[in-house]
Amino acid sequence: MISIKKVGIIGEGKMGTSIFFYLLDFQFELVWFCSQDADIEKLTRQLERRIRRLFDSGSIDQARYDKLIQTSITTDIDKLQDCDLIIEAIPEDIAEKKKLFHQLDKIVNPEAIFTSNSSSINPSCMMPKTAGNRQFAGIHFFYPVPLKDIAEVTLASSTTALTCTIIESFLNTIHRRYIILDEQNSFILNKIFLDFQNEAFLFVHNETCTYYQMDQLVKNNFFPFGVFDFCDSVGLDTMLASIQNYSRDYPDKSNYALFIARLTDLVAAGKSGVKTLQGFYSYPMEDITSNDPEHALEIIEHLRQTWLSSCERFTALSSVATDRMNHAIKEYFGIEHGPFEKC
Amino acid sequence: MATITERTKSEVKEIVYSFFAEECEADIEQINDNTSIINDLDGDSLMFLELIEIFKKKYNLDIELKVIGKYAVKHPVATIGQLIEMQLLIIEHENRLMELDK
Repeated sequence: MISIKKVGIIGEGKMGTSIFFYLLDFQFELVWFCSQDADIEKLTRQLERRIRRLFDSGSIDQARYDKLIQTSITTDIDKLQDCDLIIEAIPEDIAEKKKLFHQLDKIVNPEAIFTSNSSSINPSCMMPKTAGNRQFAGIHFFYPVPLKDIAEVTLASSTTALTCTIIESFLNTIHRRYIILDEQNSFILNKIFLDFQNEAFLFVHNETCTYYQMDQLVKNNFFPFGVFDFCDSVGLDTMLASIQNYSRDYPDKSNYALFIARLTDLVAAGKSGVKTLQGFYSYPMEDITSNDPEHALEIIEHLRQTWLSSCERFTALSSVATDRMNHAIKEYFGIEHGPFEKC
Repeated sequence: MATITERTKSEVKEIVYSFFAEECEADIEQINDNTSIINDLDGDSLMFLELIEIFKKKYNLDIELKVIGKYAVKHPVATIGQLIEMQLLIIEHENRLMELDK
């Protein structure tokens, strides 16, 4: 069985950066492949400062310092050729991902495993037709990686048991717990939340409450974050692409039509959330004072039933053991008690 | 539970200012408590996590990242001043941080 010694991380966005810096704490050789738009010199200075601080604080010894300082941050794709594992984390654009993997397949060691951190596109959709026996899988980390002790592993039908074992071993080495999913049941945690987000949106759409009132209800009764501030933080363009990908094969996809339409309008207006300073809210956020909406208890109860029902349905579909799903759901939502434990 | 002295406050402030000046390649004179970490300094949560590690070592804190993560989601930090306040709460309450919300 090949062991993972050299890891290539692709993409300098939030996830790519978070994965790269998290992996620095482990004994891999790393290559960080960035887009032509990336400021490589700035990223390299950032890395050097981080390594120096690790050394100064005694967290790493001289040998590790000497190795880490050789870490390559590059726009030269050829530097990935002898990697054992590739983790792609570029934006959610299927055409771009396909193009990238096609290019990688010609360059990178044929034994290397290709993985994607995509939050909505299955690995088989990104594989080039010419990939032959190349092994593909999804490893979906959550942001910020050091704080979210969970990853979703998605296996394509062509992913072998050996590849799965290697990925499991890699995740154990980097101290991440995981759930293993097939492509029909991939991205299960986001899908559970999507049902909740959609129901929350419909309450606002029907003028039962405002976005802010809904977020306050959610924060006070469910999760540490609201539905709409979460969307703004992730980026509404990313949310829209993900929801379109998830709901494409749903028999009940019309249930999501209004939410998708609203996201489409906001994105078309250049309002993609925090990064554009406008989304469901405007940023920086002003202080808003607001009371609970009428029928708050009914709204809470409806959302609670929606959430529990989604947790149960998706867990049953995925065949993931209940205790693993319970942990995954707790990590994802940042809550003390999961849906499958008695409080 | 640690007692926060004026000296601790001043140390924390100095470390946070110096860290962001270096990490964000900014002039320390241009940083103040109202400086926005994301909008003015182009900072991110990785920097926040690294600062936590620095304070964990400096003050020998018994604090899990998970606890800080949960607290930070409920009490988001936008400015340097808010970050300093949170660091002081972490030093003072360590793993009992979430009890502040009860």
